[in-house]
Amino acid sequence: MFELSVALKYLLPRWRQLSVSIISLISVLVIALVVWLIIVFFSVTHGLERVWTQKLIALTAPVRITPTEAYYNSYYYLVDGISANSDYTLKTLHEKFESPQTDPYDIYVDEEPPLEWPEADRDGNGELKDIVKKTYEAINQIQGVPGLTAHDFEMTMGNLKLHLVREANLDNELIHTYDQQMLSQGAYLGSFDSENPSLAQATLPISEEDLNNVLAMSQLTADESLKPVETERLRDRLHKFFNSVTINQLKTPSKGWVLPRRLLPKKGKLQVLTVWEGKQLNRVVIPGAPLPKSEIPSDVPVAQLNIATNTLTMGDGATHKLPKSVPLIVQGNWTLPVKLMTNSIDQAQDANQVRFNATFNLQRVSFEGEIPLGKLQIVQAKVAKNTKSSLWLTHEGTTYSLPTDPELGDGILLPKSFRDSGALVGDRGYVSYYTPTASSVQEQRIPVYVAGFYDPGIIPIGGKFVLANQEMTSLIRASHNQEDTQLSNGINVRFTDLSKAESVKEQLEKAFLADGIDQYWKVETYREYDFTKDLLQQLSSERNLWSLIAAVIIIVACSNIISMLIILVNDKRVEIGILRSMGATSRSIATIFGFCGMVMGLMGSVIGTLVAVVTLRNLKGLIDFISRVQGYEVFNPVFYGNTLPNEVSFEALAFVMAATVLTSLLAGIVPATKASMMRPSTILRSE
Amino acid sequence: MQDDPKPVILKATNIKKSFHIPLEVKILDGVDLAVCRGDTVAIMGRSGEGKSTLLQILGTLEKACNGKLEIANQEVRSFNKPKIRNKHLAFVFQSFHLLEDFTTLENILMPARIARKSTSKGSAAYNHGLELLDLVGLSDRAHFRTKQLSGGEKQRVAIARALCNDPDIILADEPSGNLDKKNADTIHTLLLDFARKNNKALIVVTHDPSLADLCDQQYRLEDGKLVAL
Repeated sequence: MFELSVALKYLLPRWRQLSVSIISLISVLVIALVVWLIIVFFSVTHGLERVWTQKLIALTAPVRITPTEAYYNSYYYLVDGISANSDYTLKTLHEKFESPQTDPYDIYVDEEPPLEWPEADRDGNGELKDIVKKTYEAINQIQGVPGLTAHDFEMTMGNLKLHLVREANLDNELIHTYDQQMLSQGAYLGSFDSENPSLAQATLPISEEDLNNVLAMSQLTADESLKPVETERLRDRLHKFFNSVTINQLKTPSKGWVLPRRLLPKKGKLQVLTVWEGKQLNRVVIPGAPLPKSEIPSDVPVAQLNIATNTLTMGDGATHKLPKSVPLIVQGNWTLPVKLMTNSIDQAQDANQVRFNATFNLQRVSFEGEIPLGKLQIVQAKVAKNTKSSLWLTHEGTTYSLPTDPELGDGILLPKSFRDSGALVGDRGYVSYYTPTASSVQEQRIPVYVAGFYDPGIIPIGGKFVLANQEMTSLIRASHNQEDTQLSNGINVRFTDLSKAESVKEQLEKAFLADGIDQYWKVETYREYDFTKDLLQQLSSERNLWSLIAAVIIIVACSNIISMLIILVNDKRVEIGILRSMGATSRSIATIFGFCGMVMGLMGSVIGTLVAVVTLRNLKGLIDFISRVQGYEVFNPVFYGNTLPNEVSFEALAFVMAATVLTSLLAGIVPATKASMMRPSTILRSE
Repeated sequence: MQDDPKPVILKATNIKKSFHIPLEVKILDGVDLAVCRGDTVAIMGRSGEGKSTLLQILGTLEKACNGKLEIANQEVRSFNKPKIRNKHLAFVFQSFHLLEDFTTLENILMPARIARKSTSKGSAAYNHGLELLDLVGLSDRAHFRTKQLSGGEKQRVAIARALCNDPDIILADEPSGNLDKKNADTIHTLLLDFARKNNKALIVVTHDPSLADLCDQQYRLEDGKLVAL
């Protein structure tokens, strides 16, 4: 196409047309800059929106089906309350689904229904419609949505009390003393859905602190008495623990750790600090690495310990024999690589007596031998994946399971705000709720223990949303008044592709209508939930606002092209005349300059996109750098998570590319029209 | 001229042109001209008499105020001007008017590209371009930038370019006006030989009597009318 080839020639920078070249370059760079900015900004915000949306619906699902007032007032729901077959107890959706009987009412056994009793909703054959089962059938018939699953959920409320027990005295290995604290929180209890794919992202890994806590708690009886558990039980628990955990490194307590003398090698020299009480040597502290002079406290004399001769040589040359009674203390927070001695578990009377083979260096002197766990803390350990454990949340593939323990009760999954308040995996407590009895309201307690933490995302009640086994939520729900059941039971329809939410909703509503059960259900997509609606609308309107601003910025950037093209047209007026004389149409001339604008827009876009991709790839480094320069975090992790999304948003890319090319093409219209209207005779005569 | 058996390729009837600057100045006042294939026509006249304007009107670059122009049996209208220019006409200007962003060969092939012909290496148009370069004796300058050429060479390139689409009429406006005698002679020979050999019409506007003498027909533009000499 000759217009394009001529346009490209015109855009090649030439010394002769320095002003045009400079303006073109600036125009392209400005466009590139704007494109870069928009792509990076939109990719990050788009990613954040996706992450936030995922977090928002982590506990629910893209589509949720909840029973309406009509359901709770239906014969189908109420009939359980008057039927002996159902123990005169209303059923949850889950129980309805599991129930073999659609209509449990037995005219010969059960009392007559009250006067104001709803009409039974029957199908063509006169059978009572099984609303819940029909609903699941409708869900199973949804097409075109891969990976769709449906699970019922229950939500209830209870009071969670956790007993936080922490070992207080870390100095004395023989005595256990404890600090105690109660953490009490009114909580929403949601039924734990083992198939929820969001759990994979939401659950927080077990930390070393958690492991230390689980180990410490394993020594205590299930009640709150803080008594040591009997030995057999302890060993059983230790086996369970060490079957799931491989400890690689222990850390000395911050105040130091008494080195068993049997670990001392045959020879070697160590720089040590000697602590004296009067003329009596009280203890000897061994730093992990030789201390520089500046770090040696002035009141603590430095000496050299010769292990072979068991003598201390002081700074002034005086030597002392090292008495056996003086403890050798290894500095605090020093890491010791270790390996568990499995047979030691069956000899332990106390968790502290579990022994490890340790191999470590102090000042390049090697130490090796058996050490008891004592007050050493776990700093590096591997928690076996896919091993079912009663200690904490485990998973096999994508199926998660909350543990239960015959002594400790039910494992619960807490939102991470509890961890911030000091709770750790292994902490015990109970969930209390109230049941009306004949004379009063009685408090009931269900023993629980912390089996893990999860990130609830940004839902408003996230900080109070505790996940527990469905048996527990059903039990507590059953004790509550029936009035508030409505919002607390429903079916989550999960799938990965959020864009399919509307289609799923439509298909469900259509199927419900066909089955005549539409009045019993409210189908909502994640954009319509009470707790997401405002936020998602806000995000969406912000995106629109920013798109508008981006469009304005692009227009401003592309307007540079107008001035550049006008100069170019003036510069090339003779050539325009020549081309016209050779038969080029005025449209061809306009196209040439239109192309010039478009090519510049495209060049700017491509450069900007490439730089944006590179920027997004190195986003973390860039943000760290800016954070360092300004002295505080650029993006607060509370709002933005630990890492910003850095995938290029193709939506943003398409928007910017289309907007830039279109705007630059439009920018070319004025100069192109001007060029096309030039009369060749006038141009050529004036030359 | 009516008796001429050769077919008429350009026929201008009662061409009038006046400019308003701001008073009306009549430049052409009823020019009639018929040019046949193979004719070489020289138009002479004083400066400002309207020779170039007439040439531009004949070349469809300028619109006449009045009159009728037929080229290759088609009446010239605004919609078919570009096509007529591309297919039937070619210009040679006094100041060469080469496209400086392009090489010699690219300049020569430009009319073919405008006609949407393929000009890639090996194509018919490309080979024709090389032949034209050879014809004007500039084969070794094919990939030179035009600013690297001398004045005479530039005009030879301009002539080669004019011949690219095998036009029926070549319109030359003082083709040797900016050249020395030797180069001017070369250009004259090239133009006239080509026109005669290939049965093309050549219309030259010139001050140079030696060029006019070489042409078959000479006219003088006087008081807005063509007078045959």
